[in-house]
Amino acid sequence: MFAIIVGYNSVSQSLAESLISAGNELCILEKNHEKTEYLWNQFGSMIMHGDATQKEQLEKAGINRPADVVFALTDDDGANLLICQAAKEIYNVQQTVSIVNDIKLRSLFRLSKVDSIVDKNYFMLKELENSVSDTAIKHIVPIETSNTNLISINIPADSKIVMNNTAISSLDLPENTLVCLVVRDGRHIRPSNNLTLAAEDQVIVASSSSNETIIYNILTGV
Amino acid sequence: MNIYLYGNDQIVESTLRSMLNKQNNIVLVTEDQSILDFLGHFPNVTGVHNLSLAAQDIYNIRGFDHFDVCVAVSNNYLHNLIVCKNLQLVHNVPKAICLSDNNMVSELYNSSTFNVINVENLLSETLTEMFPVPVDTNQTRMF
Repeated sequence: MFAIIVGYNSVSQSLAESLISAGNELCILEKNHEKTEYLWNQFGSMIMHGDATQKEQLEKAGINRPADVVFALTDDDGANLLICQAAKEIYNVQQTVSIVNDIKLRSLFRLSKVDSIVDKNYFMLKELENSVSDTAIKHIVPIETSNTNLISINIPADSKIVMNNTAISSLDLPENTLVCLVVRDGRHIRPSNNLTLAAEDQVIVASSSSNETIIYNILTGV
Repeated sequence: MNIYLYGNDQIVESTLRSMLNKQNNIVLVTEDQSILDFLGHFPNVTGVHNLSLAAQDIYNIRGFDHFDVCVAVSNNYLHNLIVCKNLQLVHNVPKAICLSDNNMVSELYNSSTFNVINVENLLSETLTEMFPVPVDTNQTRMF
């Protein structure tokens, strides 16, 4: 696979190392001349100085070979959007991946059909949120393609469904909600229709954000 | 016509002047407070100080339930692109005019609903030609 990484930072360094060790061809395009000189020792001809928002520079990096994937990892969301759209529309690159620096621009990137959107702050924010949260809903990961989230809910001992031994199939969960996994005493249990949930179970559910509270109330309500 | 105008230097002033008309309501969004102090008092102009391109409140302006056109003429074409694309795709503004000298931006986005213009276009009459209502040259400042 031939990949182009635009923008050099700690994320692109790890990504580059991982792609190289897996035997992929790579070009890293970096706007800052001093950075490229500094990185020459590590990456040699794989690092190139240039502004990826200019056609000539993208072409110099080999985008019209064509590249199999373009990673736009700069600090500028406008540049990332432009690079991904150019890769897709002008150079027929199969896959585009972009960092979104500002969380509120996520919808714009999704509507602009960037294939994969990595929210720079999402995981850190969710980790912080989970660490201080006193509710039992924990966000694990968003599923871009279906606009849903994987969430984790801990079942309390006094939950109505535990008291009543309600089977999963009898739960009145909203549409498009999927109970994916139950973790009980450190063991993974496939959630069959007749499985009943027990106190202290950790339930992993895929659902849309708007249904999270409803699901939480069903699973933990007394 | 409700116009969303984004910019932060002298270009935004001349652009605003070219669009001043009793039938146009202009929301001027800028990072530069001095621009707002100077231009925010024009009749039919609402000034909004903006420090973040993504902040939802710069797109949800009180008293404006919709915009007919977005004009982004700041000296940063990547900011202009984000503002125009965001208003068009996320907030359903039907027409966008984006200042950019980058040929890739023109190649990708120039269309009947998304006009990419350069500074020369701005200096000529291209911008005013894009508006159906002629400029009212008698428009004066209130203060």
